[in-house]
Amino acid sequence: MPTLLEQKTAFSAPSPVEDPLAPYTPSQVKPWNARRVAHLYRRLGFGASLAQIQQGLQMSPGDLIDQLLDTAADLGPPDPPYWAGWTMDEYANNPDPNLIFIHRNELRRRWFGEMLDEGIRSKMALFWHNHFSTELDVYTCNAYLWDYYSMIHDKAFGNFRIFVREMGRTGAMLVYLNGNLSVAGQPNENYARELMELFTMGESNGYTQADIVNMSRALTGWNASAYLCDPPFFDPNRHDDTPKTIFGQTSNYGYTTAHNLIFSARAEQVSHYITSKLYKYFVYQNIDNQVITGLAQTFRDSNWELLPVLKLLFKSEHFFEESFMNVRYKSPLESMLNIYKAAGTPASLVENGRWDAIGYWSYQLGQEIFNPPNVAGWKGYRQWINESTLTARWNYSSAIAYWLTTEQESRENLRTLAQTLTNDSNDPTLITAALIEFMTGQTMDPVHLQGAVVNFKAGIPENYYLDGSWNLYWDEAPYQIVNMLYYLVRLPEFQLS
Amino acid sequence: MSKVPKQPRHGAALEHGEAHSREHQLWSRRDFLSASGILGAGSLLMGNIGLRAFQPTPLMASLANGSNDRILVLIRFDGGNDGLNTIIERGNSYYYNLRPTIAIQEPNLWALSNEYGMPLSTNALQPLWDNGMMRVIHNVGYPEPNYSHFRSYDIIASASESEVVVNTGWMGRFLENEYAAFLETPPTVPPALQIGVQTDLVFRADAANMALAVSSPQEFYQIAQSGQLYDTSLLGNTPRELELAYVRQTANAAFRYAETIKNAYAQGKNQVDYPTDNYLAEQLAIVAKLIKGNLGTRVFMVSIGGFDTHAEQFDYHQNLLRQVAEGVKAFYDDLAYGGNAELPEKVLGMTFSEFGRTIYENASLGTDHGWGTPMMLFGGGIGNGFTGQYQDLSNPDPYGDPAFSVDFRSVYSSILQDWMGNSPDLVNFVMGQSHPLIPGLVPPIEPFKGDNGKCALLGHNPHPNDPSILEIKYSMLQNGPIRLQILDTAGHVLRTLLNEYKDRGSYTFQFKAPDWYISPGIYQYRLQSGGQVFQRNLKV
Repeated sequence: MPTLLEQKTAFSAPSPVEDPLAPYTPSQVKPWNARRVAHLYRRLGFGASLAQIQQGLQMSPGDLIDQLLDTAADLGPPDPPYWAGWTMDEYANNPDPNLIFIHRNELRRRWFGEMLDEGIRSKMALFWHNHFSTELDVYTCNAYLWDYYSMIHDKAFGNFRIFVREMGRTGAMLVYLNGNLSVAGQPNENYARELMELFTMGESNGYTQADIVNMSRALTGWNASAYLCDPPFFDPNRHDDTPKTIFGQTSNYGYTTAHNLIFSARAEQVSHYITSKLYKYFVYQNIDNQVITGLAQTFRDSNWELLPVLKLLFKSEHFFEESFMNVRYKSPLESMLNIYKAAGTPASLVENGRWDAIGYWSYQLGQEIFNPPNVAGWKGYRQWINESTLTARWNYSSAIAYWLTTEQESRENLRTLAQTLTNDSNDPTLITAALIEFMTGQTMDPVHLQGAVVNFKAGIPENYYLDGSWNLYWDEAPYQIVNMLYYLVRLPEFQLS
Repeated sequence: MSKVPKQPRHGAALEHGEAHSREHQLWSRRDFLSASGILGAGSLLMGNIGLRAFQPTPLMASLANGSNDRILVLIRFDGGNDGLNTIIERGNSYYYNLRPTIAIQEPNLWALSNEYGMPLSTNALQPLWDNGMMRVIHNVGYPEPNYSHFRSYDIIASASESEVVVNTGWMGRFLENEYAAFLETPPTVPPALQIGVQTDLVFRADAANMALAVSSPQEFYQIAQSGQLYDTSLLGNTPRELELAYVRQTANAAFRYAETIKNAYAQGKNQVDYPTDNYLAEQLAIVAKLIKGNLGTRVFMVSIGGFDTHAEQFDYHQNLLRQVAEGVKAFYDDLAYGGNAELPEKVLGMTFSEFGRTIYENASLGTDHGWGTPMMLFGGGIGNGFTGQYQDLSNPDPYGDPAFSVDFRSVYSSILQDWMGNSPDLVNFVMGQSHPLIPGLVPPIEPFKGDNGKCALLGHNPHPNDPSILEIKYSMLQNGPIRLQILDTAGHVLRTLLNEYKDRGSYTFQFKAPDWYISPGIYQYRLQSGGQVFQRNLKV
């Protein structure tokens, strides 16, 4: 496996601009063009349809970002499924032993569908699923799954301080990190440690072992059960109602006051840690200190509201720098959904079996929704790609591309896409280049562009191209596009978003 | 003469626009499924298991059936070659009457024999013919012809019946048998290599595409020279270049053929000048270089397009044939360079095309889709001469096509058996049924294993309804003892699955690993009868 690159992790930063977080102003060198609109959509969500890009171009960058983020933030709590509050008894009494799995699967499909249609809140929710990592295989309860799912969507753009506090007493988290076993006299440190290390402050960043023990004592009393699956509740008899010393301050901290203490006593750490994580998710793995400083300041100034931080980041000059475009690895789900999205496929066209395949494949590629590998979540970045997962990505992406040929509507969407992108050209090279740029935001070197063109031409005798008789109205055209996609998804450029 | 319809069949000519487009569609629906494959579908079945866990093994090729060093180079004429203007029946008045404008006149051809000639543009082939290195198979086709380029190409690529859709190619099925554990233990040598076209149905097997497909000579040069699928040397250290380099490097690491191709390409040399501005010659030069560099790949495919000559074909078609002739001539000169008589005898070239063209010229001075078309074979020691019957131009069918003479599947079968050295049972298995062989088409391999064989391993595949069962198929060519054993990768016998006397016939052994207390891993199985041994890798 790669060794050469291990040494090549230091990168040359772009020439520093005076204020990287200044609002992006389109210019000759950084035009507000289809490529940048697509860049925004790929980072903010799972890609853009052509229509979305065309609409985006009609707006200023700032207006578009406001609109997209405000819309996503105002969606309100997701509608609960009928099984939202089911206990284990209810499942046990149901004649269908598979129902518990069927319900989980329904929710997974629902999320996938929202990733494709809605995109932005669902991607932010995926961030939080990774941040507040919990494994369904451990907590096992569907009602807890729903509460957790609902929360990572509903609070995705809300107040982080409140979000952390509420997350700690979800059934999923109480079971997963043993908060339900932490009782007065016998505190379990698990949750308190991760609360500081992973959820708020960052590893070894302003806390001691004593702080962890005392924090866990402050959080005692909340209970939940993976076996019963009934709603979490606070039991005062299990709560440690004595003074605790946390961060050098002594008080009889309880659940809420202890949480608040993190944000008041360690505001610097929390604001830097969380904004760095957002930066890595949305921009690039190697953080830019100047940017993080600005984001962290805004995070604190806004009293832990997330939306102002995200708006500041997405509207910045920094976000639209050329050198940060196409530097993120697509997650497995992105690698598949991007194709559907670019092809203009709505979720309603995707059959259940295909969602299930996408779920299975993303599991194969290392991203099993509802079951991150551990409490630290998915590592992402280069860990998404190794020899096995890369070649498997080729096949799974090809399968999605193939599905585009199986319904008339998808085929016609592809045809229209190519026609719109090229003003109905009949030049295979021009069409191929336009599709590649649209799908990836990148241009290919001449050799691989030519390879893509050969696949686009797809064995149709050359004379039909030379004499101008071939055009995008041919029945073959959508299949040709897909044939070209088979080639495109294998190019390394395709893995970068 | 007057019986010959002047009106081309609808859809078979370019000017019919929509109908033509519809016939293309027949092909689109499914052939596009045969995804272009740099690596084949290898990892599809394995997912997270990790390709890296499987050590590639170079011994696969040597373990294969009928193992020998004979090579086959397929030369595809894309678009439907006009056979009547390729091999001309000299002095045939029907021909000259049917094609008043585009016929090749006597002064413009060179003589293969008193009866037949080829256009002067192909006279580079004359030394090959004179030296017994070229054969012509007249009028090759199949019953109930299909006039769609794409459907017809599928038929000749899959070797199916005209009405039957088969999703694998004849070479793919053959190679799948040669490399039975292709997915589990990918070989380091590509079983087949095709240059200059998208992945071809010819090489498609059930589970994978057996060929390394490279879209263009340029793409190939880059791979061969750098030993990498994708160049990482020119990338700098901006964030984008760093990450792109990482993905490229990972892809390069997954590319199993890198080392062997780079070595063979560096070792082999083109020792003659190939014609310039000749796309086919450029591809053949690569093939020659790899053969001379001992790559070990036994099947190559190159391709030249432009044969769909619906209009103004006279000069154009002759020029295409010139490229073929000059490319093939240079290729064999290169193989024979320095007086090497042996190498050209190991390499058989075979041209093919999806169909021939109408016997009459159309109003645009071209020809439309027709039926039979000749194939040409090239190679040291194959002799010269003709096989099959030329088109009877005086007796066309209602569509205006004379009946074909040689079924292409007989040609394939003859090549699989006599050239590649496979047993008749295996050939019939690959071809789906028995087709009459063409005696003397190519020099049969010595010793011919087929007749001496006691048994033939036909391959293995998972049980269609129970993937935990592996079906091992074999054929007893005569009554005798048969033994089937499981070995570890070091070659130690672990279990004997079968050790008994069987009558002549074909058998399937259903192997279920847990029943034999065999834990998951990589193994080999060995089939033995008399002195004959077949050994294959398998994954449990």
